[in-house]
Amino acid sequence: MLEKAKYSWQAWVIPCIVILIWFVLGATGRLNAGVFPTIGEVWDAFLYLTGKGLLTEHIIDSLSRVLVGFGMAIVVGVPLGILMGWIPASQIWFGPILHFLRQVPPTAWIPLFLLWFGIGEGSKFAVIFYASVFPIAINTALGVQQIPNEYWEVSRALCLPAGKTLTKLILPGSFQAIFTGLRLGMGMSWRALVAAEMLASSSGLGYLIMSSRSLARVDEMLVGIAAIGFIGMFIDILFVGVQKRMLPIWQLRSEPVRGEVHGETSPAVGKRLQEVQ
Amino acid sequence: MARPVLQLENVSKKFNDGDGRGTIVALQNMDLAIQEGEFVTIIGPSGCGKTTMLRIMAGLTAPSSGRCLYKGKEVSGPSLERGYVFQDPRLFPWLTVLDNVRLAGNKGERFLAKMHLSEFKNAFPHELSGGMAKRVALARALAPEPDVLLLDEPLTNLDLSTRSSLQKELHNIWQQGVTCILVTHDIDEALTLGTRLILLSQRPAVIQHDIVFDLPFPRNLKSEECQHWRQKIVDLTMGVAY
Repeated sequence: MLEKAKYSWQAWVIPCIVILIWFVLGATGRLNAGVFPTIGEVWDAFLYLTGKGLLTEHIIDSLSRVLVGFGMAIVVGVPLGILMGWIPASQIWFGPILHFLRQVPPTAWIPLFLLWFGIGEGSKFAVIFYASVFPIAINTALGVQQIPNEYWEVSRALCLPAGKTLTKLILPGSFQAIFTGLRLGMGMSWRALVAAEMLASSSGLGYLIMSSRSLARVDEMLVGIAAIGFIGMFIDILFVGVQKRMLPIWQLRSEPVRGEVHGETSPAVGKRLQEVQ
Repeated sequence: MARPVLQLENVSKKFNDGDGRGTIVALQNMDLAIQEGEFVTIIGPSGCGKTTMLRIMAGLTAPSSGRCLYKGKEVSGPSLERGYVFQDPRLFPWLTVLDNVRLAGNKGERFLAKMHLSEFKNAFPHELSGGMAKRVALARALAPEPDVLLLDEPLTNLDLSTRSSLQKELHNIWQQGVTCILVTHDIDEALTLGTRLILLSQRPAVIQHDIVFDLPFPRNLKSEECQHWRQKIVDLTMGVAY
C-alpha cells in the first residue's frame, strides 16, 4: 500500500536525528523544562492520556466531525462539479462566486459560523464542509472537462440518455479527478477542524492543545500536535491506497486517443477547428 | 426513382481556424442523393472534407448552409437509425467489450457474436488487438439496428488479412439490407465493396465524379472488368490531383 520510494529507510534519517538531538539536549539538562519538555516527558504524557482514554476520546470526536462535514461536502461538491463540467454554461453562474469563496480561508468564517450555527457541532460541520467542498467541486469539474471529446461524440452518436451518460461516461471518466478532489478536501477539512476546535470546543484534538496551554502542559500540547500530524498522514495514506487499489485496469494501459477534433483537419492548418454556425 | 434515404441539398460547411482569423470552407454547395440499398464509397484527397460530409449525414455536425435530409426529414442531430463508425474505435476503456456494445441497445451481444467476439465479451478494450477493437466498434454501431451505416475509414491501419475479413463483414451487413456509406482512400476497397463511388475534389470539396458500377459480387479485383474500372478511377483521381 505504501509507496516504497516514499517510505524507505531514508525517510527515517531526519526524524531519528531530531529525536536524538532532542534526547541528548534533554539528558544533558539543556532544555527549559517549562517551555520545552524532554522526549521522555512527552512520552509519559502520551501514556497518561491514552491510559485514561482521553486521547482516544478526542480523536474520535474530531474524526466523527470530519466524517459528517466531509460527507456533506461530497453530497454537494460532486454533483456541483459534475454540473459545471457537463454543462460549461453553468460556470457563468457558479464560477465567480466559487472562486471568491474559496479565497476566504475557512478559519475566517469561524466567528460567523459560531454565531449562526451555535457553539456546538453545527459550526464545526460548517467549517469542515466549507473547507472541503471547493476542492471537491473544482476537481470534479476539471475531471469531467478532461474527458476526451472523442468519447462525448460517441455518447452523442449513440443517443445516450442523460442517466447513461452520467453512469457510463462521466463518473468513470472523471473518477480519478474526483478522488483527487476528495483527498485534497480531506486534508483541508482536517486542518480547518483543528482550528475550529481551538477556538470554540470542549473536545477534539484542537481542544486538547488549547486546554493544555491553559494548564501550561507543553508535553500534552506536543502529544496533540503529533496526533494531528500522524492521523492526517494516515488518512492521506489511506486515500492514496484506496485510490491505487481502485485504479481500474484500463488506466494502466489505456488506448491512446487520437487527436481528432472535428473530423479531418487539413495538414496545412492542423490547428483546432471551430465550427461556424 | 424512389425517395432517397439520405440527401444533401446545397450543403456547405465552413470552419474557423484556431485563431479566428480565417475561414476554411470544407464543403461547398454539395448535392447528393443516396438510395436505399446502395453501398456508396467516398474517395478524395486527405483533408478535403470527406469526414465532414459523413458527420453532417450523421447529424454530428450541422451544415453552415443547406440541408441534410434523412427519409425526407431534415437531420437535426444524431439518430440511432444512422449508425456511425469512427475512424478510431473509441471504445470506453472503463467498460468491458459487452458493456460497450450494450451502450446502444440490448442486441449488442448478438452482434458481438456475429463479429466472432463472444469469447472476448468480458475483456477490456486495452486487451484487444486493433482489428478486434474495430469489430467491437462495428458491433456497437449495429446494435441499434440502423438503416444506414456511416463508416469513416474504419479499415485504415489494419493488416491485410484483418482488413479483408472486415471487408467481408461489411459486405454481409450491406447484403442484409443496411445502406452503407464508406469514406476511404483505398480504391481497391471501393471496388471490392461499393456499388457507387463519389470522387471529391480538393478542399473545398465538391463532387467531381459520381460513378455507379454494377459488377456482380463477389468481385475479383484481378478480373479484366475490375482492372478496367480501377484504371479509370486512378486516372480520375490523378485528375483531381493528390
